[in-house]
Formats: sequence, structure tokens, C-alpha cells
Amino acid sequence: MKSLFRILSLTMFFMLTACAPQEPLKIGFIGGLTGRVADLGQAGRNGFQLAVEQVNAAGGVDGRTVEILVKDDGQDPAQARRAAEELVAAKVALIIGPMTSAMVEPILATATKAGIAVLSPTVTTAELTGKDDLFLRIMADTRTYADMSARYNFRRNGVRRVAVVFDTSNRAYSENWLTVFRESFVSLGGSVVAEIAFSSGDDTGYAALVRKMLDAKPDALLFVSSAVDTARFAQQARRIGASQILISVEWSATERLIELGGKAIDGMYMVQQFDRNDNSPSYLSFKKAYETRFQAPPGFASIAAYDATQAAFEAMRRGGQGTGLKQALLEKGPFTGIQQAVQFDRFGDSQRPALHTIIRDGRFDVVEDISE
Amino acid sequence: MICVSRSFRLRSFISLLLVATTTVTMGLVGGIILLYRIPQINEEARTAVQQEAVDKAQLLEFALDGLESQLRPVAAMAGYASSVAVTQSLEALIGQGKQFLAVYVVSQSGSILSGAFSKTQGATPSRSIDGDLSRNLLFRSASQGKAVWSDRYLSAQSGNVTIGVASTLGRWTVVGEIAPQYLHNSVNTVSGRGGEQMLIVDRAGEYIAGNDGKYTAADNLGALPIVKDALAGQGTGQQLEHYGEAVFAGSTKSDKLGWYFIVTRPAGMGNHQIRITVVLVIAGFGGSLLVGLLLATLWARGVSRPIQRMIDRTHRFAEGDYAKTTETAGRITELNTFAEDLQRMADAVHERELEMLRSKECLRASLESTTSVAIQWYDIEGRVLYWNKASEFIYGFSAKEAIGSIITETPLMFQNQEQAIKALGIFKEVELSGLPYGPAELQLRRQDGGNLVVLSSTFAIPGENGKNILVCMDVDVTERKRAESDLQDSEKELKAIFNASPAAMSVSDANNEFRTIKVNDAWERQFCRQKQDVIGLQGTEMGIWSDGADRERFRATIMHDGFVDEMEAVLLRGDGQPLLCSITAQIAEIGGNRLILMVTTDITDRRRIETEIRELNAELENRVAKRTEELSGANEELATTLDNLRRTQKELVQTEKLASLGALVAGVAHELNTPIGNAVTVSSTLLNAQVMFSERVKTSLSRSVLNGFVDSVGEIALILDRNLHRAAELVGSFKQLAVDQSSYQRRPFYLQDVANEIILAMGPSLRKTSHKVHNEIEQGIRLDSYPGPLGQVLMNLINNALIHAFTEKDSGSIFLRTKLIHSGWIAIDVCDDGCGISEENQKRIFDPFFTTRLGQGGSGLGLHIAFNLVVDLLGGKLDVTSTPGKGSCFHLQIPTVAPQPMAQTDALSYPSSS
Repeated sequence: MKSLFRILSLTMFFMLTACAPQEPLKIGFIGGLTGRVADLGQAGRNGFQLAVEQVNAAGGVDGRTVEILVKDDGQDPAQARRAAEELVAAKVALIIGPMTSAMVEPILATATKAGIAVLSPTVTTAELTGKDDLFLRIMADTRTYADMSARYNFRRNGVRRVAVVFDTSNRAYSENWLTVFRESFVSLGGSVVAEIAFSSGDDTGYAALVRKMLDAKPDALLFVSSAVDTARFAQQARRIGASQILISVEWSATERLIELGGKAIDGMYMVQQFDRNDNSPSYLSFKKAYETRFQAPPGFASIAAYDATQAAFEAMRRGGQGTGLKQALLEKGPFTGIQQAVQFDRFGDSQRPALHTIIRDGRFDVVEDISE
Repeated sequence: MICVSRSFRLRSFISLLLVATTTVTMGLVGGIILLYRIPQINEEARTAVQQEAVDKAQLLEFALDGLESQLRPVAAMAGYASSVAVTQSLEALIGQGKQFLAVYVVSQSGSILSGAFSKTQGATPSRSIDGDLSRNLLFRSASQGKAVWSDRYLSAQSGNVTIGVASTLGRWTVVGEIAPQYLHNSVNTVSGRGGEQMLIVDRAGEYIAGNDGKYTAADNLGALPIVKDALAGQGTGQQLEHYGEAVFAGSTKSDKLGWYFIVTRPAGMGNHQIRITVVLVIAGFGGSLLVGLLLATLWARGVSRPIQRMIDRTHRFAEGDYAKTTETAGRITELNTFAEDLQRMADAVHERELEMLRSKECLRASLESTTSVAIQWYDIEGRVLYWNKASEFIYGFSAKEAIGSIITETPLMFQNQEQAIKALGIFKEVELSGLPYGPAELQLRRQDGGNLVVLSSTFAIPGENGKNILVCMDVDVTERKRAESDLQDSEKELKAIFNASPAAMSVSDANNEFRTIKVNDAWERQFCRQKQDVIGLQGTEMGIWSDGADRERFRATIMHDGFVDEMEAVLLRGDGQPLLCSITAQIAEIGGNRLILMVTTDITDRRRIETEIRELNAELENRVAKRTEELSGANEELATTLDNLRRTQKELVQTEKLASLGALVAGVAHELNTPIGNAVTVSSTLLNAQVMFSERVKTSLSRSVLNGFVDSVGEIALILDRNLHRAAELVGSFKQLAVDQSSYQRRPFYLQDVANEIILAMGPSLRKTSHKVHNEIEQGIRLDSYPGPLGQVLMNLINNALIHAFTEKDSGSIFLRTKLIHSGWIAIDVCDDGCGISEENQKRIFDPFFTTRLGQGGSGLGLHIAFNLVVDLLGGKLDVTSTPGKGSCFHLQIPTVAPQPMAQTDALSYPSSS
């Protein structure tokens, strides 16, 4: 009787050990999912979620199911810090995000304490370039994009006088972008005639700000702002009847911009971080999966988040477990991306080519870049 | 015995029976209930969730109808009223912002005509309500007459992710952005308290509302199985997995809102009804098991008690206890009848047994009561049938082990099988003849191995079945036999002892004129006479006494006292040789005879040896006395010599001390020489100047001469002052040194001062050589000790180095170093880099008069004095380490506070020796 019981309990023990499912792998996401920058945040979250769902459908990472934790930073540093603390407490292996440069500082501070790497799809501020920390990113920094914008608009559009508004609620990005642009533009021979700071919010006086820009008699209006603000600025400019060339930044170049801006944004120039006209099978199959899942086309943030997430999984498969994940991301590259391979330098920075586009009839059209 | 694999007690068995019946019944009933009821509940849940989803969708559509209907009039109004009026009515529509966050009227081209924001959205005057909705999805999907609801989208107007509703009438479309709280409340109202989880998502799987609390507006739930099914239009109440739990999910799409409604209810054990059913069945099962156990135990006890009593009584009968019991009758008739029959049977058996016992008792009592006659019964095969108490006692075998054994197999008291077979032969003879055998003497043995002699008779008596029983009756005669043989043995023994005795013994008869009865072998040897020659003779007849007076004395003493103790007399051997003997005799009265036992010991040799020893002792004593006298003379001489030696040593030490003092004086005098010499020189200069000045005064005194004189007087005064002060200082320190050296004053002082003074004092002798003393003593070490002796120690050590270390070196170095070793102790090292000290010499270096420069001025006392001062006065230690060729180091360790002297001891007075 006793020995039978012993055999039974032993058998059960082995069955339990054998059958115990592996602990799920937790990955966190932080982005602005409410408020004015939600377009960027949602697109990024969708790319992230799609990557995870595809990996789970294929059996997970080395047999481990991936569990996602999605947090909203609301474009507020305090909320971003809380979100990061929650993810650290939940013991995530990696944080994908944030989507805006201003959120990096609070999140990175919290994640660094816990030794968790932060991999951002869309943050481009040059302030973080060349730092050996736990922060990694998919995009090139603002130097690439702002410089490209300055050259294109000076040479191709003949712009000589630019009036600028820039959003201080994402100062880390906007000021940095403007600095690079100014340097490049002035060195070419142009001049920045007005630099007007504003903080994006419900009571932003778009009309007054546009009038102030026009007072400086510019050839072009440059909006260093999110899609919502860019749309509102463009609408105000067109209402007043301004005929200047409109320039915006890659931050605002989300798929929602068209819907938000209406006809007012037709003719606006901006740098794009991916090629919508790409016919490669990898892009087409990704686009199809994304549209089926989210009933909307993917944007640059979706692709970047998808690439970032897949790169992280690939690094894990190549041996980047736990705290070794950052090293694996830095050393075990390049990783497969939708439109190009992902490769980090030793500071966790990357390069990603850009295209110049104009909005025509509610579509982003690539314009030939002859600035080089 | 019946073979059973396992037997139970009656009570356990009845309990088990009852419990098993209950459990199996309840198990079956419970199982059937579960098997029937669970699928039924599941089916109900499946239908219910699907129905709920449809119901809730309709309910929410109905609840939100109210919002749509508010927008329509504004759209109608926009066609004809002024923009101010339209704005006013929009603001009225917003009100407190409980329903809409923003409302605006949009023209056909998509531009906003007018609008209003809720106060909570921060409607500041500067906030512009304009914009271009031409490409807005909601605006574009709006159609005439029918309100359209959006998915969650990012609105440029409110700058947030929101849900909008658009109502178009004519050329105008009114768009309202719904307040999230309103939607939330509506959903809560609609979902009621059914316990189902309700979830609403838009076409892209974005979370709209729900009563779960698990999700936020930030979530896209498209990947959840329940949402996936709903979006695919397959949500018809099937069982799905949801966060690791099974749920039934029903879903429907609201055509009006364009949203998906998903209602879930837990499946399996998560389902409330299933859980209750299972818990009820388990509780019923457990309860009946418990009740069954209790009842069964009680019932079994009731039933088993009378049976147990019966069994107990039967057990008692079997063991011969026929006592009647006073138990009352039980409730089972068959058992009561059985109990009565049993009692009757027991009574009958009891009566018969008593009868038999009485007749047996009579015979047994007579056999058992005899103690000295061992009685045994045997059958003709030799099997023991009876064994009485006396047999047990005599042979040691108990009745229990004897009865039943066959003597040819187990011989019992017979010595071996052979004897037993012989006994069996006697039995057969007695059986055949019918005559008794014996009594005959037999050699037998006890159980413990002891031998027995018995007188045994055997006869036959009739036994059962016509067979004869053979009766043996034995009487133990062992003791008697043994007493007889013991007497013979002891006589033999005595004779042997008498003859074997090494002392010469003789026995004579006091009643028969002291005629000799017996002499032993030793007597024959001692006196060289034969037994046969002396037996029956008197002492005089055999001529043994050399002196007749001795014989008379012996006779008188023994007759008077009854004994003679060590009487010495000269007796004669058979060959006439005289022997000095010691005679001891005693009269013993045995059976009326008065026998005299005489022991004669030959003491001729012993006496001679005793005399010799006595002479030797006397001679030895004489010799010892003589030697002692010589020794004490030598000792006295030695004491005198030692005394002289000690006195000489003291004198030498004193001389050494004076010499060192002299060296000090010389050193100080030398130091004094310089300042005083300077002073003398300068003072003579002054004298000259004064003379010259006096002469000038007599002739003519110019101002310049006066000035020159005054200047030189001033200079000279300065030089004098400085040099005389220096001299005064030196004298002062010399005084201190002299006092310290001569009187061993104890006082607090600084170590560096003493060291400096010593080096100063040794200056003259040092300067003669090119050796250097490096004073590395730390500043500020304060001691409460004897500065004079310490100085002398240092001086002796330095001197020792100067004299001995640098014989092969022109310029050597001596180092004075200190270190505090621990609290209250200080170490001072005096080291040199000279030739070193051989290991052999190191051992003796502190001995008095040890010197390697004998006859070259070394007294051999310097280090000895230093050692004594350190150990005895300063209370410290001094030792030396040296590497020949590299140098030596004297390690001095002293307490910073010297011990208080107990008294003016020898050690103290020894170096001072005043």
C-alpha cells in the first residue's frame, strides 16, 4: 500500500515536471496611446503586437510564449516613469518604446536601474547618439533627416527664408531637429527668419502662431510638431490664405496625417522613413497581415516597431537571454527587417535611409532627391 | 483453522458494510447527477451568452439612440439659422459635457462651420473650433438620414483618441465626440448585474468599452480568441480559452454602431452553477460518508456486544472458568437461547471434572508429601509417567521435563544410555517375575552433573489398559558415602603434609615419657638419623641432647606452659656433629593423648652471618665520620674563596662605573672647553681694547675712536654672553648627569634628552675615530624612569660597538632607533654595521668578565652592567641579534613607567655599590 502510494506520487511529480509549461517571456511596450501623439503610439503598438502575435503563432521564442504588456505614457514624463516602473515590476525582458524622444529620459532612468534594455522604434534625437547605455534604436538620428530636409528645400524648392514653429512638449526631439536644420540651412545660404516655440495642448492658438510666422515674411513654413498639430497649423495657414511652401517633419508623417489634415496638407513636403511603394515580398506580406489585423495601412512607426520587436526575438534566439540581450542585439546582428536589415553600432544606434515625399491628393508621393 | 486472507473484527466488519453501502450509493447518485446536470448547464450557458450578446447590443443601441436624436435638430437648424444661433444650440447640446466632449457642424466640403467643446475639455477663448474633415473617415461615411458611429480614432479637433457619431441632414453634418464616461456608464447600465463579462470592440479590435476593468483604452484586443471569433462573425457561444480559463463566448455585431459585442461566461469549474452543483454533490457525498461512519459505528457496537459477551464466556469455559455470569439477556432471541444452552453444558462438564479430581488428589498427596524417597513411575518402554517432588529435589530434573521422556533416549539421572538400558532390563525382569528388585546401590548423576549414590527398589503395580506400571523408589545415600571417603582422604593428606614439610618436625607422647612417636623426612635429613632408629626412644636414649640441662629446661617449660617458643639449644646429629637449633614446641591433646609437636630449626649458619654483618656496619660508620670531617673543611675553604670572589667583582664593577663617569666628565669638560676658551679669548681682546682706549683718553679722544670702542665693547659683550650661557647650560646638564649617574634618581624625562647628553658626553671619544652615531630616536617620548642608569646602558652599548664592532672598518655607523611597541612599552635598538658577533659569543655576551679583548683593557663588565640595569632597575629586557659580517643589534625593551623598587635590593646596590 505504502509503496504503491510512493510510486504514484513519484509518477505524478515527474509528469508535473515534464508537463510544466515554460514561463512566458514578457515584453513591454510604452508609447503615447492617448492624446495628441496617439497616432504614432497606436501605429507602433500595432507593429509590436503583430510581431508578437506572429511569433506566438509560430510557437514562440525557443518554445516560450511571448506575453505582452502595453503601457500608455500619455506624453507625460511622470506617467511614462510609472509605466516603466510597472514593466520593471512585472519583470519584462525588454521594453519596446517609447515613440517620442521626450519620454526616453524617465523610462531609461527606471529601466537602467533594473538593467533592462530599452529599444525604441521611432526616437531620433541626436542627444542620445553615441552613448553606451541600455538605450537602442532602429532609426537614424535627427541629423540625417533634418539635414536632408534643409538641403532638399534649399536646392529643390528654392526656399531661402524659413519660419519655424516647434513643439516644446517634445523638446528633446524638436529643438535638436531644429538645431541641425538651422545649421545645415544657414550653411547653404538660407536664413531662419522666425523660431517660435509652443507647447502642444488644448489651448494652442494655432491661428495666432501662424500669423506670427507670416509676419517674418518667409518663403516656407516649417512645422516641427506631431501630426495633429501639423494638420491644425496647415489648416490655419490655408484659411488665412498663406501660399508659402509647407514643410513638416518625419514625426508627423503618420498615416493619420492625411485624415487629420484634410485638403490643407496637400503640397506639404516631408522626409519619410520608409518606402510605401516598395514591392518587395516581405513588405507586401507584412502590409497584408497588418491591414487584415488592424483594418488600416501600416505607417513608419508600425514598420519600425515590427522590425525592433523581430530583431529582439532574433537576438534572443541567437543567445541573448536576460541581461545579455543588449550585447546580443549589438553583436549578433544584422537582423532581418521588412525593408532593410537592422544593424546596431556599438552605441545601439542605427542607420535607416529616408525618402523625400510630398502629399498629393491625400497620398504620400516620393519626390526625387537631387540634393546630393 | 479456517484460512482467511485477512480477518476483521465483527464490529469493523459491520461498520465497513454499512459505510460501503452508503458511499457506493451516494457515489452512484452523485455521478449520475453530475453527468446529467453539467452538460445541461453548459448548454444553457452557451445559449445564454449568445442571447445576452444580442440583447446587450440592442440595449446599447437603444441607449445611444438618444444621443443621435439630439444631433439631428442641429443639423436641420444649420440649414437656415445664423452661425451664432447654431453655436449657441451646440453649446446647449454640450451642456456640462456629460454626453459630448465636442460637437461641430461640418459643411459638405468638410470644413467646420461652428462647434463647441465641453468645459472639461478646457474651452478657453483662444481655442479654435475649425478644421478640415474632408478626409475624415467618419465624415466620409456619414450618409443622409442615418447616424453613423466611428471606430476609435484620433481627432484633430479634441486632440485625443475618441469615438464620434455623425448625423447628416441636407448639406450639413453634425459630428459629436462622445464623452468616455457617458459611454462607460451606458455600458454599465446595459450590462446590468448578470455576472457575465461584456466587452465591446471596434472593427480593428480596439477596446471601446467593457465591464471587466481588465482592459484600458490603450489595448487592441484583436488577438484574443474571443475577439478573433467575434470579428470573424463566428462567436456563437462556443467554449474558448480566455487568459488560461475556459469561457463560453457569444458575440454579435451591432450594424448600427459598427461595434462587436462579446459576452462571456466561465465554463467548467469557473461557472458558478457548475461549481455549486459539484460542491453540493461532494458535500452530499462527504456528509453521507460522515453520517454513515457515525451510524455504522454505533450500530455495529450494539449488534456486536452480545456476541462478544458470548465469545468471552466460551473463552472462559475453555480455560476452566465455569462461573455463572449475571449478564442480562440481549435483544436477539437466537443469541439468548444459545447463551442458556451454553451455560447448562458448562455446568455438567464442571461437575464431572470435580469428581475425578478428588480421587486423584488422595494418591498424589501421599506420593508428593514424602521428601526423602524419590518415586518414579515408568511404563515398560521406559517412559516416565510420574515424578514426585522428592525426585525433583534429589535428581534436579523437574516433573515437567522428566514426565513423557523415555530413559533410553533421554537418560535423565542415569549416567549414560548403557546404564538406562540396564535399568530397562531390570524393569522387564520385574514385569516378568512379578517380584520386586532391590534394594540395590546405584551410581547415578544429578542434572547439574553431581554424582549420586542411591538405594533403589523397583516393583510393578497394575496401570491402565492392563499394562503394568513400574515403580522405582530411591533413597539418597550419597552424603554418607562421601563422609566415609573424606575421612580417609584427610588422613592421607595430613601424613603427606607432615612428611613434605621442610621444617624438621617430631611428635612425642607426653604421657609416655616423651617417647618419640613420629619424625618427618626433614627431621631425618637434618639430624642424619633414620626413622626406625628413633621411633619409641626418649631424647636421652637416642643421645640428641648435647647438654642435659637443656633437656631439663625444655621439659620443665613445656609441662608448665604447654608450649616452648624458640628455645635455643645445641643438638647432636647422628654422626655426632653439633647443631645450634631453635626449638618450638606445643602440646596438643587429641582424644585423651597429650602429644608434643616439636619443630627444630637449624640456625647455625644464620647466627654466623649475623655476627659478620654487625662487624661490617661498625667499620662503615667509622669511615663515614672520617669523610664528613674532610668535606666540611673543604666547604669552609670554598665559602671563603667565594666571598673573596664576590668582593672582587663588586670592586671591579665600581671601578667600571667610575671609569664611565670619568668618560662623561672628560666629554663634558671637552664641550665646556670651547665656550670658555672663546670667552677667555674675547675677554682678553676686551682688556686690550680697554687699555688702548684708556691711552687715547689721556691724549685726545676723537669721536670716531669713541664710537669704535663702544661698538667693539658691544660685540664682545654679545660673544661673551652667548658663550657663557652655553657654558652654563653645559654645566647644568652635567650636573643633572652627575646626579642621575651617582644617585639613581627617578624622575620624568624625555628619552631624546638622555640620548643627546650621552652622545654629547661621548663626543671626545667619538671624534677620535671616524665612526658616526646616528641618533634616530623619536621626539617626545616621555618616560618615568631612571635617566642615569638608562644613559649608562646606552653609553655601554655604544661603547661596546665602538670597541668591538669596527675592528676591520674605518668608518662605521651606530644607529639609535626607537619604536613604541605597545602601550606602556618602548623598544630602543642600538645597531651597528660592524663585524658582528659570532653565535657562540652571543650566548655569553652578557656574562660578567666575558671579554674578547682580555688584556687589552676590556673589563668584561660593560654589557653585564647594562643587562643588570635593564632587567633589575628599569624592569625591561635586553637581547642581541647579530649576523657576523653585517653588524649587530642590541634590542632594549623597557616600560615607559619603571617598576617601583620593592626595597633597596642587591641588584640595585650592586652596580652602585656605595
